[in-house]
Amino acid sequence: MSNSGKKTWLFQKYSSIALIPLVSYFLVKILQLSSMTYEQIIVEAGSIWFLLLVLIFAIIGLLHMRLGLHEVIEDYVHSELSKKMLFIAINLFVVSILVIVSLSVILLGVK
Amino acid sequence: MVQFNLPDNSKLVEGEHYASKTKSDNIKNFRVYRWSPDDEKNPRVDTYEVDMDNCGPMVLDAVMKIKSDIDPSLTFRRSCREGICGSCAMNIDGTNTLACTKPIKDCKGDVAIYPLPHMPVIKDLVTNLKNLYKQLTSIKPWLHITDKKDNENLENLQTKSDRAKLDGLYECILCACCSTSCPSYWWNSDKYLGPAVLLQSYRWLQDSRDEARSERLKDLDDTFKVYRCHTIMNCTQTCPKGLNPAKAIAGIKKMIAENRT
Repeated sequence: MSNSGKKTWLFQKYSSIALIPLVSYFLVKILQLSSMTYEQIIVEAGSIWFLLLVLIFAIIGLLHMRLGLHEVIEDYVHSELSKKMLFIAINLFVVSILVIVSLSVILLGVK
Repeated sequence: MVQFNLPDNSKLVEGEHYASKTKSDNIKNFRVYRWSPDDEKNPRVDTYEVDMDNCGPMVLDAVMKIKSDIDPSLTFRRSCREGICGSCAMNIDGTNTLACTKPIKDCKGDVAIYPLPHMPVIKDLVTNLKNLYKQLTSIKPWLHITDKKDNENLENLQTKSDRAKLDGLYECILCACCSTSCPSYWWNSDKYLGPAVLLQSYRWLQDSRDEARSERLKDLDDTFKVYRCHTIMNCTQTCPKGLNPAKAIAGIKKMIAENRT
């Protein structure tokens, strides 16, 4: 069956571009956090901008990862049943992590 | 799953050693893959000692000398012996190339000669390229123009700059060195078109006289036909004509992204 690859390919490109500044930001942030006290970290992690960026990073990063893993599976797994099972497992993993990250962000934001 | 190991009946064994009958000191060993469908035996690697003082400079010269002087059962394709027909494409010294344009002196030590990788072998160095030709047919590699224009019997003019867009594309001789060096093509050759066919496809997409660009792009927009290319670049690395199929594939992806119809 023929499926358009254009949207997937474009999303891969756009998400990888978006991840460059996000990953750079979090790398710098992690280095900064390592030199902060516990109280300073709580204040920093509770700021709305930080939480928003965490959420954006999690959404884009997980969707990018999902697409990448789909590519690997499509390349190497030829049994349709195994393929479907692996896709379901990846989707479940992505949704669970997204739910956990979203709940954590909401809890930190409410505090 | 993709099969990473060879099945038992495909595992290579050491074959015959054909010692040179000349007393020359200038001997080079050619280790050649042999397999025949006529017996149940595993594929083997035969070693032929070739007197380099009485042999031409290219690998094809040595292979032809082996066939004529040492072992007439050795089977391979060849035709033009000048890098135009693409018949003698084989894996030499670990790289897919044309035996007729590969100098023996470029091979250090013994010269290993195998058929094009991951293709069904018909006999010895001859592989079955049926699938590649079927895929080539599927992209309709000819000029598509409206019937009206065709009937008018007019010249199909092209500007110099439009003609220049075909440079680096039209030179492809379809030897299949690129496609058979591509891991993505190894795993999914039934659905992925592979670099050779995609380079041909791009050649027609770039042709200013062609009127089927949109249909061609629509046909290529498939998760497997084009997008199995992961920019590994083996195709560009191995092309014996110095072409760049990876760049052509990138061009196709860009054209598909820009195509709004």
